Amino acid sequence: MQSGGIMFKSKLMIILFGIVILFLPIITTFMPKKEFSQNENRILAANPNISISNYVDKSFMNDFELYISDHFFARERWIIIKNNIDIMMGKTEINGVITIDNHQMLEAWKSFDSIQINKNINWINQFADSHKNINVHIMLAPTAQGIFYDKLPGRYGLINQKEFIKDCYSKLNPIDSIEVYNTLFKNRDKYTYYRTDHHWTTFGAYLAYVEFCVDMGLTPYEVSDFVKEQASDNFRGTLYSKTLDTSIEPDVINYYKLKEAEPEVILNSKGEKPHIGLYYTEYLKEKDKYSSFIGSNTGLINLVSNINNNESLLVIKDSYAHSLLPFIAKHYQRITVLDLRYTNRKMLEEIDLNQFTNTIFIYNTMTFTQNNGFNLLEYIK
Amino acid sequence: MVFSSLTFIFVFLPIVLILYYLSPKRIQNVLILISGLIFYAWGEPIYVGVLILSTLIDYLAGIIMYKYDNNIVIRRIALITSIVMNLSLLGVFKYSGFFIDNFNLIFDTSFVNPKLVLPIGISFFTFQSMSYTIDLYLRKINVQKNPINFTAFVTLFPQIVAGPIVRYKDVEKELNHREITVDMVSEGIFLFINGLAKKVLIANNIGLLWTTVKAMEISNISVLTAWLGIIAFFFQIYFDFSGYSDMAVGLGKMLGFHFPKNFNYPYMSRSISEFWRRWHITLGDWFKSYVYIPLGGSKKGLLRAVINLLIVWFLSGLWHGASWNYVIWGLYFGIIIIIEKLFLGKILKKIPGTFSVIYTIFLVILSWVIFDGGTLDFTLDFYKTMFGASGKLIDGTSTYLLENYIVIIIIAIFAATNIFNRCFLKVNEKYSTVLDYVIPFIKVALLIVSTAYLVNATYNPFLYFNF
Repeated sequence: MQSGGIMFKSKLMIILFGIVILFLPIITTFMPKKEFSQNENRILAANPNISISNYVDKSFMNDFELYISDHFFARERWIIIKNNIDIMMGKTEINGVITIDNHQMLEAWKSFDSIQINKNINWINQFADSHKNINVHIMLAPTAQGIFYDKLPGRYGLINQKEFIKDCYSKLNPIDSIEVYNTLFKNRDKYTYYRTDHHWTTFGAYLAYVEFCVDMGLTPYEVSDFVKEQASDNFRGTLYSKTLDTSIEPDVINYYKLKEAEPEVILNSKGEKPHIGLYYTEYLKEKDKYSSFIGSNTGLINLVSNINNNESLLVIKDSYAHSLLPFIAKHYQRITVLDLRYTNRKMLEEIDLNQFTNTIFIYNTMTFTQNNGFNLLEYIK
Repeated sequence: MVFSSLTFIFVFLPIVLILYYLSPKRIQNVLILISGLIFYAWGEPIYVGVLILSTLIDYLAGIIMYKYDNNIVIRRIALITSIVMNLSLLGVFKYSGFFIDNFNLIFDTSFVNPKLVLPIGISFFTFQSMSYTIDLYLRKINVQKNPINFTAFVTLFPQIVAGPIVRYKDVEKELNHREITVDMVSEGIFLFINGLAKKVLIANNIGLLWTTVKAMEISNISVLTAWLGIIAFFFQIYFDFSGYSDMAVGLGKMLGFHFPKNFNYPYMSRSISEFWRRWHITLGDWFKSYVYIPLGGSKKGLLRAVINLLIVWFLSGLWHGASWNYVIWGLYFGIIIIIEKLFLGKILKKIPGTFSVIYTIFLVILSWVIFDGGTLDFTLDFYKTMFGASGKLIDGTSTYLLENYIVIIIIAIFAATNIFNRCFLKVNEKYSTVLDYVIPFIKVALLIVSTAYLVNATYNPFLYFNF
């Protein structure tokens, strides 16, 4: 009886093990290979090449291992398993993402490069100093973690974004700063930030737009002046990509269009055909739906509308401005939009600052501490 | 190549095992040789030449000793050639930089440190190879005339990179003739999966805690944080190394070899002397057989025994790395062991087991600070932090770390004892048939979960690789 039992256990173990280490590689070999990972936003490994030099410098071995890993059967399913186990073991954040109340993902922000942020502030101050005839403004938007800061334990070591913004504004002189933290905080239960993405929602951008108008002496449109057009109810953004947590309801993207007199806008970027309208709706079919606002990050866009008030604005920004610009565009005939991370000296030298009455920097807090190319500001005359 | 990788588990292993089980016995050693070379060359495409060179010289030394069986002088020359060659390879690749830097320091010279890259596993395969020539000289084993068999011994992929240090006499019989049974293969799979889980699920994860603490500003670290950090390393290095050894022994079983055990629940030890009979057992055995006993061991009086122990522990420490902190780490244990042999050991046997275990664990934890601290400065600073230098007992960070790691720490504590084994034996008395069905599925579940972590892997270094 005993020996039969041991033999059975052994045979079962061998069979099960054999199935796993044969089944997975065989399926991996014969499954069609994806070329691009939407969630990781990168091209997946190509077939490794073997040659003498590839052998000697180990690039063949590394490429081979990367290939196996990138194209392993059901790769993303494994990541979901691992994340779930991490959560069971008490991990408070997965790949830097904290989920609160089971329905809101936040990007944990714990540290930044203080040398870089000081440099950034200095460059912007210098820019304002050398163009005293231009009105320079800045809007620093908190991320979701900043708005829900009080809901998270202090021991998580997160940055107090309200204090951070106050601190930056005090160092940015004499630049006019636009305060948006309070309105976003007050309305935080009204879906001002995406659940699965690090951007604010169109409504969150609207609230910032109101503050913008108040600061610039414009009359903001009311919410009731707009028609909310649902662009997508199936948006899973950057934070989803980090966790692959499908238990969080996907986000809704709305476009706010004026019921009356919605302006016609044309977007011009260098080397591309002019784009009619603010929205690149083809992105709605892909994963990166947020890019439907103003399109993907390019260095310079010239926005021209049929509002004949001769007003013009220079916007220097990161991607948070993308869902804010459709609102601002209702008040200007011309807006030049710059993302300094994607510009070069030549492009900037072609800008004539005198045609703009106002210049505004629009950034979210996290991006603002990074290297955004503010050193290139000096090339704008 | 690393055992804990998708390439090894899902490409190399299935191919090798299938070919191996389908091959006639005469081909199996050829297969071991070739797969071993591929395995090693995968990580060292050039230095695989060093491995082949070392194997060739030791094989020839063996043949010469055999051919000149009656000529003690020639046998001795062959032995010395083998030892000198192996130690030179080890010395040049691993210790030349260390030696040059210290020489420059003492004699105020400025010789250039060639900064040679260390071939993987050189500390292991040179020691294994030397065991052959030494034991052959001492006539404890027979010569291996078949070059394929001998090379297969050296390149055997389960233990080539990180042990256990398999001496030739451990596998002499099986090298020439092995019986592979279903039970043996199954036991091998069990061990392999256990080792994989230890490394990927416990060691790699708990290691993140230590990495986090090490990166903090040291004057800011609270007492609890410091202890959490070093306890994390305490577990990381055990599960990492013993996990790898388990995988090696398991793979050996799958191929029909019985390798010696390398770890035996060392954290259950009641003295440092016992700890070193349970930790990295094959290294201790090697140094005892080939250094301590030839020096006279404890048979030449107390003073000589103390000196011999200090020599052995100096060398054991140095074996772990070409840096003074490893030597200090070795001597730390050497001195404690001497004290235990003199009088402390008897006391430890008389007091309740719990206290002796606490004594042992406390000293081992302190030793890991020296081992992984790198510099003397860091080690001393960290000791001060462990005992309150920052002025804080607990703070937000330590609570946060505890929250994130308490589960894995508890799992580690249980897994470091033989509690799972004892539970299994008890349950097996009554429910062996049920267990026969259940255990294999549990093992496969561990394999699946380990695979999930490997697919995710960014952090997967094997700590003992630099040997």
